[in-house]
Amino acid sequence: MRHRSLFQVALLAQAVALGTLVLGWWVVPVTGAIWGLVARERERPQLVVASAAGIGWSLLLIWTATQGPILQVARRVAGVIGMSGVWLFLATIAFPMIVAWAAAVIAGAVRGKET
Amino acid sequence: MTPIRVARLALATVLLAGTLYVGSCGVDSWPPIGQLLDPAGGIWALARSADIPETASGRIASLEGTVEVVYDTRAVPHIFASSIDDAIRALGYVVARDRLFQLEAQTRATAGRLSEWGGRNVLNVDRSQRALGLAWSAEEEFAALDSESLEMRLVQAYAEGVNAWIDEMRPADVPFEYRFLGKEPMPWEPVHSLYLMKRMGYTLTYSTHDLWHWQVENLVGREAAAALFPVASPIQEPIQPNGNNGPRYDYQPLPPPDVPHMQRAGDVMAGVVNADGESVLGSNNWAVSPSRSATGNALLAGDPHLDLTMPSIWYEVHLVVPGELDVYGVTIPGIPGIVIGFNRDVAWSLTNTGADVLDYYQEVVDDGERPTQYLLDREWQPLELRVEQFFGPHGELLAVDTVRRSRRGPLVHTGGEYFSMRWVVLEHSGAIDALFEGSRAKSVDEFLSNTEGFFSPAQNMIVADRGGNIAIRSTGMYPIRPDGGSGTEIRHGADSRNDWQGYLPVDRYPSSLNPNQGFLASANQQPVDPALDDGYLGVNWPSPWRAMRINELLRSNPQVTPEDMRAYQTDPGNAKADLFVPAFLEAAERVLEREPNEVLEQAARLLREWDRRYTKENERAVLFETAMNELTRSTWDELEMPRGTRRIATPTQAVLAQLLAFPDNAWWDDLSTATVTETRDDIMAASLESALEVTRQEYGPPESGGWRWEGIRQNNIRHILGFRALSVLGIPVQGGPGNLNPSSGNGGQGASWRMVVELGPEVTARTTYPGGQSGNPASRWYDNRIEQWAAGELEPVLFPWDVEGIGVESRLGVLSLRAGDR
Repeated sequence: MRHRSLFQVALLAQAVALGTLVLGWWVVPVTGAIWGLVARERERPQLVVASAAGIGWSLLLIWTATQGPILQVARRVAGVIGMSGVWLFLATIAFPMIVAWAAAVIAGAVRGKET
Repeated sequence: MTPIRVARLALATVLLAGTLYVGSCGVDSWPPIGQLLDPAGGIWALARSADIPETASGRIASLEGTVEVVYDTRAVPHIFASSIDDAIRALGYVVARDRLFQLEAQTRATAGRLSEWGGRNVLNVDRSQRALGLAWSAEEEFAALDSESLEMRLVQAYAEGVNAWIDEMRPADVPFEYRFLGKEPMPWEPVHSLYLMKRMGYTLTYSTHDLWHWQVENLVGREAAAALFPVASPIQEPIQPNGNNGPRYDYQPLPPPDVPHMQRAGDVMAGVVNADGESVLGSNNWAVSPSRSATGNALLAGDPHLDLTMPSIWYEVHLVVPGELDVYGVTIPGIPGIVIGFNRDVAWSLTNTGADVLDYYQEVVDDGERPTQYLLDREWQPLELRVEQFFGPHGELLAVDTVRRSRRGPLVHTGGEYFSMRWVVLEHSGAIDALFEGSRAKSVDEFLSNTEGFFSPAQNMIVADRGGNIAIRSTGMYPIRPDGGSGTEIRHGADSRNDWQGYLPVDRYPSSLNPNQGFLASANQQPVDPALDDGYLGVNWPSPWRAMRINELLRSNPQVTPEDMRAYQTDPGNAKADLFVPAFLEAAERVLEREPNEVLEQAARLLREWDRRYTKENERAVLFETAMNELTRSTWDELEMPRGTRRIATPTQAVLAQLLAFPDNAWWDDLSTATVTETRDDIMAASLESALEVTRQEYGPPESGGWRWEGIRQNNIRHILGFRALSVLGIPVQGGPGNLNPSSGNGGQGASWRMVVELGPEVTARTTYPGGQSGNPASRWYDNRIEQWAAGELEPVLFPWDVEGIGVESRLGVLSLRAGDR
């Protein structure tokens, strides 16, 4: 990935983090779709936005960890939904990546068909 | 488009559709995972609300002044307000802050609205709750409240506090359970506090005794049924001292089972079965006069035994309004005040009286399917009808029921018959204001006077003051039946002469003030010795094992210390074992004299080795408990249903103890051996022998380590929604069935709060409960007290006079509440 892409990832990650904080998780597919539309001609737009979504939510996890006992949440609450704490962390990062990637792919395809 | 691109597009479409669906709608038992995993507002956010902030502020629109709430290092909020109403508003606020989901769950349980969360899985629970009419009666009681009454002021102020928190909380503060259910907290209404009182009444007084008693009568005859489930306990160690320096054994031979009247017993009320003779939903409290206290101060201890849940039923708090209120103790989330606790002059605790406050009447109705009228004194009277609608999680209508009510109470339809239910709990409770006024008392006399209006559920209120007085009174509404009769029979509803004639006056309540013996104790036993007063209060009283044990301990100690009181709460001794173990051993000896039996001999040797203590490391208690189960099963075989092996009902162990005095009584006979008539010794020896076999099968050989009590009886504190990951399971404790620290079969019940108070020049107290102050599972205050509780330890409480009385080192955080909107 080039420097430009890395910069895009960083910017998008911040946007995803901030957007999630203010508007909730639907920001992720919306961001993926928008990026898929506007950055269709750029290098690997789906990968960029998927990475950004994963990093964005990771940033939020790190921020949350500075605010309270995040490991305790993982240990206790993960059990309620039938997974281990580690899987809960992984799922939290993988979920936005999948959503953003898929939204970007579809948006890119729609845009491609139009043009 | 290349095939690879097509494939990628197809994959992306499937993934996006799948993740958006699962993310927003959830699947199976999973909640919407997008919202759940969202690190800003989902479950991770629980971490951000897990700790108590060093400083925080909040707004309650109706506050009259500023309220300071200081959390001490045990996470107990000390509320300093300038008016009673403000203190209660702040109480609502801090309870909601820590226990919001619990507040709503309890309300929904009483209102029969759990299916709005859990759908059809809990529909039957809701239907049965609404059929009891608890919410209906709470709503009527609320509507009848004077708007200026203390009770109305309290419940309204409390609701204002709860709702202020609901309005103010950040997404991170929303309890986990709401996220899991995908629901929002509902606003708290003042009537919800009354729901909770009804719920307490239901838990502590609801009984189908009359119905199954009727079934037992059909099975073994009226006389035998009355003896098996007696109005007078055969062992008397009453709450109101009877002048004896020990238990009074009033053993009467049990009448033999009558010729069965099986034409009805098989099908009438087949669902009403009481398989377990002993419940551990009981409590202990006791008080010691200065004359028997090592420090010369009155002492008081209390430990209510209830369902153990995460979070706990109790919440510890201190309320201060200078010159008006200074009370410390535990509240139940939803109740605007302290239920058990102490102030600067007085300490009190409660145990359940277990009085018979529910009677069934067999009604004559106009229609067997959809009755609208019932017969009373030869005239048809209209039934009150209330249509109850049950909705599911998405607002869909799940069911519609019509609840019918005669002038006595709700109708129950069972076995093709209609019964109306007259139940004190459905009438005015009076508990909220009585408890509140009690918490302001300055002496024992004042406490007793202030709590006279406490009607339901009847409680054995023990109280001590700094003046050295101790007292106990079983306070509540006791119905007076026609002709001074008992409440054990089902009466005919068509005759108004069968109605209750009123309630017992307060001066007839069982009570004692400063008795000569220098102490008082209650543990749900029969309150008054019938030899002194045979007025009917109830029936089938729990076996008085805990009462016998605590009285024995207090009698034998003329210099009781607070530390003794603490130790007694988890005392390993057991009056039941003291009574039954010698009986088992003597029976075994006599049988062995007749014929050798290797297994019986070994069982007797093992039982003889037992010190009759239920310590964690004990390896013999299990044999005794198994022998008791075998003995119960063998002795009461006459009470098994004709087409099965399940007992309709089980007499208490006190009745079984009574039977020990009559070795040839017909009840000892084993029905399965037609040609032999067994005696007491035969059954006891066989039970002991069988117990050894069963124990070996289940736990291995005696010396294998599998018999250790801590591995057999453990407490299990389950989350209120049953989430295993949020429960604390398998806690080994000292205690067992009939101990002062009782442990039930599934370990789900036990001492829900423990308190020891010394009423010296300054009141000092130590407390704990199994759980923690916070309902947030990520918080260190969620379960931090469990270890201490399991060890039987208590912690000294901070009881400051003012804000400055809580030093910086004792402060966890400060919350300032101010008037106005956010």
